[in-house]
Amino acid sequence: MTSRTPIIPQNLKLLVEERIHDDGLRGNIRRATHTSLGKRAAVVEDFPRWEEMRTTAHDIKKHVMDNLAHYLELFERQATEAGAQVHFARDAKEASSIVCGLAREHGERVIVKSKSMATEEIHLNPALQQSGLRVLETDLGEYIVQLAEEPPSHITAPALHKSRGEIGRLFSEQLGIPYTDDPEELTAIARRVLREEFLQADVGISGVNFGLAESGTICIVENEGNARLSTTLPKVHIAVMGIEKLLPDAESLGLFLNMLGRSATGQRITCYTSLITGPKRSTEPDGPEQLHIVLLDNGRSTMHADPKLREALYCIRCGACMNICPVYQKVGGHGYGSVYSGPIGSVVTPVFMGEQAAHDLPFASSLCGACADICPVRIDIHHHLLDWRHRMVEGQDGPLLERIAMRLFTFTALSALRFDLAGRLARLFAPFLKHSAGGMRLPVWSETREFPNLPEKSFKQLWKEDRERS
Amino acid sequence: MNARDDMMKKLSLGSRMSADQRIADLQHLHDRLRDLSGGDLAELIPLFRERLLANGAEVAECRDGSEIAEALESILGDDDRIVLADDARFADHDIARKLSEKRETRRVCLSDDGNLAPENGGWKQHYAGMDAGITFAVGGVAESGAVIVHASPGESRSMSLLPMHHIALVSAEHLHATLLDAAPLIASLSQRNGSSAVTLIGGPSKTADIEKVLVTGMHGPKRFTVLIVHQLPAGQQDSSTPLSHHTEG
Ligand code: SF4
Repeated sequence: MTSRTPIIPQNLKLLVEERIHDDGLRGNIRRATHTSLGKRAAVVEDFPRWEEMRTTAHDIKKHVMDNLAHYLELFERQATEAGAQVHFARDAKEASSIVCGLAREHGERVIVKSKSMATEEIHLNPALQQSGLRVLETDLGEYIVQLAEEPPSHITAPALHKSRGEIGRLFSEQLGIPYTDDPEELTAIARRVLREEFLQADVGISGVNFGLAESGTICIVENEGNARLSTTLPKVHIAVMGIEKLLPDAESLGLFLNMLGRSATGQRITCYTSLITGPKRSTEPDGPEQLHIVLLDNGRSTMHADPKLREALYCIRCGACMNICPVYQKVGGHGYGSVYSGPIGSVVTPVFMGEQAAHDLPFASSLCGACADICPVRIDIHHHLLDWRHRMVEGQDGPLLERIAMRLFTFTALSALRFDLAGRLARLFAPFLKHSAGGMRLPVWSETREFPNLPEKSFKQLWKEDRERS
Repeated sequence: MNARDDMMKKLSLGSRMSADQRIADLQHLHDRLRDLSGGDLAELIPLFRERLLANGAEVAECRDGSEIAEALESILGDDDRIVLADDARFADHDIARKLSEKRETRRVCLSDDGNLAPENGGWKQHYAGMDAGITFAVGGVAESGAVIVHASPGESRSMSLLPMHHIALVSAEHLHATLLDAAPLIASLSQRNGSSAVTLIGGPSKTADIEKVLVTGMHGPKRFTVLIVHQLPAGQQDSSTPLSHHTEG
């Protein structure tokens, strides 16, 4: 399998352009996001106090972030005492070289991986392949995009952009089997192929959904069972965990599990929630002999030091903000050109990739606020986007025409008389302009829209008339 | 400076609370969690059953140990080769013997010292081609519709994962109303002298990665059945596990 090149959000317009005209893609994304949202709404109703749960979840995350050094140290101590080996990585390069080193030491045959955004973030697969290792994604969606040599397009549904026909053709080409587009059959084929690989693998790599400081436990949430297989069958398990994943204890975990499954896929609980504490005990029949936990910083401590951005570290990667986002629904995850897509992706990517590379991302939002309303940990996502916009345009001038227009507007709007006069003039001339040859046009905007008619009377006039009548 | 100290130093600059403040703050959060936990769900068994079914699990019930063998017979159906947990309770009422009359039955452990032969993944072969794995759950969570299993000398991780059918026996007395009520049990199992793998299982393995069409049996069992036993004797595992919360609700 060849390594895929990471895409970057620099050419955001181009990326979006390509996708917005792809009707098939838009249909797939719409179906998928709406299914998840519908199911979510139904199971959130189980909890009449959902809004309080969100506030509590927010406050627990705040508590952890305000004491992050303490909880990280506690986690390290407890995990180590349970027999795990804990590694620290300042950035993506350090993390991937730690994992590659461990994998080279233990992985002669094949490395099985379960879905993990952190390993995408550190571009682990290309690094492993460069080390001459064969690495296999085992989550069905990830397996599909790996076969297609594409990056995943959604946190919880990586192949969301592909139709069954496309997947059928892909399987038939890559695996040399007769074509079928039946999801049941395609799934059975993937199970057979991947089970063989699981039984051969010497190293399993996973991400982590939550880390429990109290006991040094890592918690992995999934539906397929591939994370359980990856962390059970190979003799070495390597878990890559962002340092923001910490929770104090099992009690907090109870709340977060109740919210994660519901927010992500509309499930009350995912099929499997694995709580792993250290490697296999000597008296236990099976499990890995070694457990390595790689704690990843990669910009998180920078976010942590920023009083505003710190809140972005509360994210539990449920994907709800993507599903609800009107922009995401149109262009999908690849439209953003970054590992973390959607509204929260646009908040964190400038930190991971640099403001320069991610310059356009905070602008790829309508700031409608639907993301902040649905977020289970109450991150004020759209305000963070607004904040980034401020930071990015600070000290920069807009285009000349825009500056002149804004000056004119300021001049007009500062006096009631001038504002009134301008309104009258506009209402007088607008009908002629609209029907003249060129019409009233704004570049780009007018390509798909009619210019609206101006109302006959101004608000001020209407107000006055209304007062006089009553 | 090494990576660890570097990261710790940066993070401690932004970690402002004193130990006392931190403990008080966490205490306060715990109070709020307990207030939210809603452990007053009166009828746990019907809710447990309803939620399990909604998650795609199958559910059966029986009265006590004397009915387990018969209940398992009908749950197993065509499953010919089964793996049983090493649990003394399978010797009661001849359960293990009755089951093995009609089908190939294996125990978790291969050797006398209580361990599977680890070399060359010998234990992996042990499960190859097995149709069903039967385990004892240490608890159930009614609101979520899930059971709690854990790796122990008598129960492997694989037996609930590799076969196409997983059957979990759970005592009605070990039902918890919500995940928050089950938290103390989960915490005590996950201690460093506890189990390396505690797993909440809420349904059969499944995926919806192809056009959101739901398909079961992606990597793990295609069938997941919970057998609720109204009066199940305590196992060896249970005595070491504080279950102070299990009667709540
Ligand atoms: S920002 Fe909130 S809604 Fe979006 S993925 Fe993170 S936790 Fe979920």
